[in-house]
Amino acid sequence: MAYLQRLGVPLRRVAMQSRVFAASYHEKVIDHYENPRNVGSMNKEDSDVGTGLVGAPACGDVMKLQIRVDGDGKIVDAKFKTFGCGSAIASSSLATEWVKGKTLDDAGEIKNTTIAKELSLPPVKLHCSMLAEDAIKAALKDYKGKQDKMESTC
Amino acid sequence: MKMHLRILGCVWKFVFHRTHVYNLSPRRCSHSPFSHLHHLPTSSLSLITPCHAYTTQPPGHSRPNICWKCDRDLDEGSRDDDGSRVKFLCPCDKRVVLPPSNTHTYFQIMDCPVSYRLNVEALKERFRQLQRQLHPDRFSTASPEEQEFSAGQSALVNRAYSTLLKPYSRGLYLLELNGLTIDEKDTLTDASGFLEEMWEVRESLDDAANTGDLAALLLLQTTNNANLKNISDEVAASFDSGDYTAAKECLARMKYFINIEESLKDRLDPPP
Repeated sequence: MAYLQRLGVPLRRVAMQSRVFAASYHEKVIDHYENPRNVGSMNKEDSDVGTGLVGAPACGDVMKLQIRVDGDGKIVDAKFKTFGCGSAIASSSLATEWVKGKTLDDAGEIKNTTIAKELSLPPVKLHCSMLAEDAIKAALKDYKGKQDKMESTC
Repeated sequence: MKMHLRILGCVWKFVFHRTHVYNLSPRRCSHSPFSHLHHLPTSSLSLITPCHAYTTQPPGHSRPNICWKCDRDLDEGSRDDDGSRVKFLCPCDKRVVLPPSNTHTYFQIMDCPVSYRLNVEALKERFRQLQRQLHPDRFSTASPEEQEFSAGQSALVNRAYSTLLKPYSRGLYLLELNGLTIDEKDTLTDASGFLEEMWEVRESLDDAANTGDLAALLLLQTTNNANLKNISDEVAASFDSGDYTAAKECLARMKYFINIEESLKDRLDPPP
């Protein structure tokens, strides 16, 4: 529940929303929504952190996904925070679980269709999984950009 | 044999009933109700809610602009009219409700100029006036056809009203009439710093709500209301100058301010 509060969900609405969710969302979405994994943030100035901040203009969602990469190019940690609907929260929560332990290239291979399939997202919510894929890509790009900059200044 | 004939009779009755007698069920449109408007690209019409497209006129009335009940020419006495005026009732008798239009935009239905700038009071008055005439309660003792037409008309007026009432949905509708939509598959990246700005507002909103800082919430609300007004002015100016791409970009930003507004309302005035 504390997570939900941090995610910007007023507690009074949670009980009401859970009922709606139960009827229309897959249980995996509800699980990620109620117990989101890896909520939080990292210092975006750290050189080993990549930050992806993306938005969906049609619904006004905004999603931040961050990765921490070790010296071998492996993602050792991931955090997210999303202001948006249950599917967007679940998609980004799942994305952080999946990128952890992957190499940068493997993380870049994660497709929105795989996320959507895992969460059994209905067609109208597919764009939430696209947003999560774009967030991963933006985080990877940000990290690579930082590394290129460091190399060029060395 | 008798049995077979009876079955055949039933099947015939069913087919006849569906295709010739009633033929009233609103069709799931395979094409837009606005496809007659040739200046509109068809791709632009996905968001426009189909307005009760009836496949044909009611029984025996294949001619448009003829009252389905009394055969009166509906254009009579309005020859100077270009046909854009929406007809809800037959002029012969105020109790005869016509089938809902599938050829008019919401602006025409609500008798408003096609513009983002809108007289809300006039819109409300038009809505009340139409519902006084068309509400299904007025037709509770009328024929099934008329009951269905009035329900269709009333629902169409409700949709037109609610779409035009809110600036954001009005803007989206106007955008669609001009061939543009905000695609839900679009992703905004933060080239302009706008998302970062929105992110910071959402974070401060959360912090203020979690610490119960009412003053901070009210300050956020004041700022957000000003932002909403500014962006609405920008949308209006873009539409005025015919710059629909700019209008689309402004509407995309407007959605973020609307979400913040709703979130603030939830915190400041939580639902019971």
